[in-house]
Amino acid sequence: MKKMNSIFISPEKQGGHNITETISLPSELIIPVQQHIGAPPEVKVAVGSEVKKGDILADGDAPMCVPVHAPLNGTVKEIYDFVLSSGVRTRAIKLLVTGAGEDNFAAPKVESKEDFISFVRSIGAVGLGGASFPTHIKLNPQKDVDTLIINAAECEPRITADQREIVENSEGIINGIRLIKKYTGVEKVYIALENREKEEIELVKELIREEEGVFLSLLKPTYPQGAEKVLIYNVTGRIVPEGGLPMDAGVIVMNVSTVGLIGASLISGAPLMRKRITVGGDCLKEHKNIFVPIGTKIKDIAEYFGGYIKEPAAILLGGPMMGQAVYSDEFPIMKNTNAVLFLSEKALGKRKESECIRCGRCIKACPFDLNPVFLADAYENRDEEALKKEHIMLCMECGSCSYVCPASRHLTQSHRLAKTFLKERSAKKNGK
Amino acid sequence: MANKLIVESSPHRHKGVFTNNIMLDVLIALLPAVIASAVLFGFRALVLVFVSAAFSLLCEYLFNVITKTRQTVGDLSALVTGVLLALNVPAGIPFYILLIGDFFAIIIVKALFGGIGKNFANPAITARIVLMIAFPSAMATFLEPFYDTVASATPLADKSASYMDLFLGNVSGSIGEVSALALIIGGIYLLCRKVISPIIPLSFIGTVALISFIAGEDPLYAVLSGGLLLGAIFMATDYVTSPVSDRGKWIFGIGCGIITALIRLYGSYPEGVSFSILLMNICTPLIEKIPGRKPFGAKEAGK
Repeated sequence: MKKMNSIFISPEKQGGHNITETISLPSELIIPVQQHIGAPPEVKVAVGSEVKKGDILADGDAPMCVPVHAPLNGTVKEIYDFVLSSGVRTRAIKLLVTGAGEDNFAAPKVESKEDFISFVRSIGAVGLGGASFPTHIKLNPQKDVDTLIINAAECEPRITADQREIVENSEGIINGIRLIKKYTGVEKVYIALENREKEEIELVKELIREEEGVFLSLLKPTYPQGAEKVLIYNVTGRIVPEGGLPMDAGVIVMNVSTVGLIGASLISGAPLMRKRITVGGDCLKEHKNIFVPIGTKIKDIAEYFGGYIKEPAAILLGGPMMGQAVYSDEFPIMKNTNAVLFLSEKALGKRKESECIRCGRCIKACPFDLNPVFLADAYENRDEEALKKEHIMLCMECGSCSYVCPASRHLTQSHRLAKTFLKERSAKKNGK
Repeated sequence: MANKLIVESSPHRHKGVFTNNIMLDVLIALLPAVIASAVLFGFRALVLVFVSAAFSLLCEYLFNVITKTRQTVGDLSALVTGVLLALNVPAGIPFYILLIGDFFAIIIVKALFGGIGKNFANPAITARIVLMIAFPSAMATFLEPFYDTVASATPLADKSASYMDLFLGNVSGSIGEVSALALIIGGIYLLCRKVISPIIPLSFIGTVALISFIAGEDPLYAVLSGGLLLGAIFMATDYVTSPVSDRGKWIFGIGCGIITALIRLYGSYPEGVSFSILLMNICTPLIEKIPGRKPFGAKEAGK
């Protein structure tokens, strides 16, 4: 079997192996209503309405739509336009928190596949690993799937939230696995872990001892091991075709936290209202995992950690390789946020771009065997043909090429722009 | 927050190996050869290396200043070129000839084509060839190691040296090419540091050995004598002027080997390493065009 290229990123200062703490009650939440890929939900509350923990704040009828719930008790103070870190424009609800609220939810009745899918939608489940794809769509594939891969290979350096999920919510995870197996008809379930996570490996082994058709898949701790297509290839040897989805290879890939959420919610009935996130970076004293209500502002998290020890040059939602830099610490935590990093200029380690020396390191780093430097040149020339011929659309923006480039060329950024450029071009053509 | 946050496209981290780190590794790898040249040919060899390196750096610095382009001396590539060129000349060469070579390498071959990354031919190799053609006698007057006497012929021409002399460098030739031991140490360093891939050196050297063997010559002697090791390890592996793909590297290395062997066997020059590398440098853009790499999951064109 041909090996996929990967790179090794030193895990550096590891932290975040604590029992997840819960942040002190924030005074205000900002809750964007579009927290998934797909149709935007409508706001179901009005300025001044009192909401209770678990109330639906926004929902919609479109198939690719997921509800958003109130994470705490509060009063709606404002409903306004908001730009997400991804650049997507959405409505957002500002909630003045009046109390922590109570957890008295009725456990749902799930007896059929329809029940299951609507239950998954009703708790507001989206891919928690970062993609925020609606889970109820993913669990209802339009093609035959026989394999479920549970992604616990946290390949981004510094992030440990999924590891903590395994340790702290193992029951929820195994529950989730049983449910998904039962209602989607997958025959095999692989729990994919990096082989250096000794504690979690032992735990998972114990957990699946009695389960039929559930296997542990150990992977090398390389980057980008947790990327969907890379994971599918390394676990099953199947290749997702260009432009295809995992179901085209007969596979469903789910983040371990998403599975845990489904399993735990089936018992408690509680929708998705809080996230476990890894908080770290060299601008904070500590590096640990905490639970935060969705909508908590980054500023409140920094405060909970005792403020900055040095002024951050960048704040990232997500890991250093694929995380999004935000423009302000007023930004909220969303469903798909799994880490907040506060980094100084030194930690970013950036230099000015210089000339490409044609060393070929980017080609050796690309998991898909693309030619990043050629693609960057093709984009520079807006060469549509060359971009297509060299399969730019396969690029998943993992950042490996930029990471290794000795000339600090902004290759990943160029690929991102090139993909948008191609999409716009084809939209224009179709419009004619 | 007091300061403004940096908002840029991911990734937000870098491996920390930059162009200057790579060039520094190459310089470290050249150190054994420089030391060997000083031991074998005396203090003058060391002076040649330093003068050449300093003048190359100066050329690049002044070019950037005069043309008002970004200062690139910091990437150390000019230093590498200067050291390499010095290692490619005989110990007795007049300084002005070496300086002409440095000027040619840095200004004509590299800077005028757009600087690092843009030159299509290896600056040091091209400059060496220019000097060989412009100053044939000075470039072919080799000294015997440990004596300040002019050698009658290099071991490549008279085939009389012992393996041990060739291995250690106790033969006449360009100051940096004679000691196989020093060059191999440097090569191993570059491989360990993953600065170069082994494909070009191995295919280059292997091809020369094979053709020499077929032609009835001693393959080991062919590998150890002349400028083959210096060329195959340090010059043919130049990133800018060799193919980036593994397959391209095989073609490049084998091509270099064939041309070198043919010139050695049938050409009027005793040595063909420089010419072979230059010719394959010119072929590199064509080699890069050979298709065949198929990305994972890629659909064929046309769909």
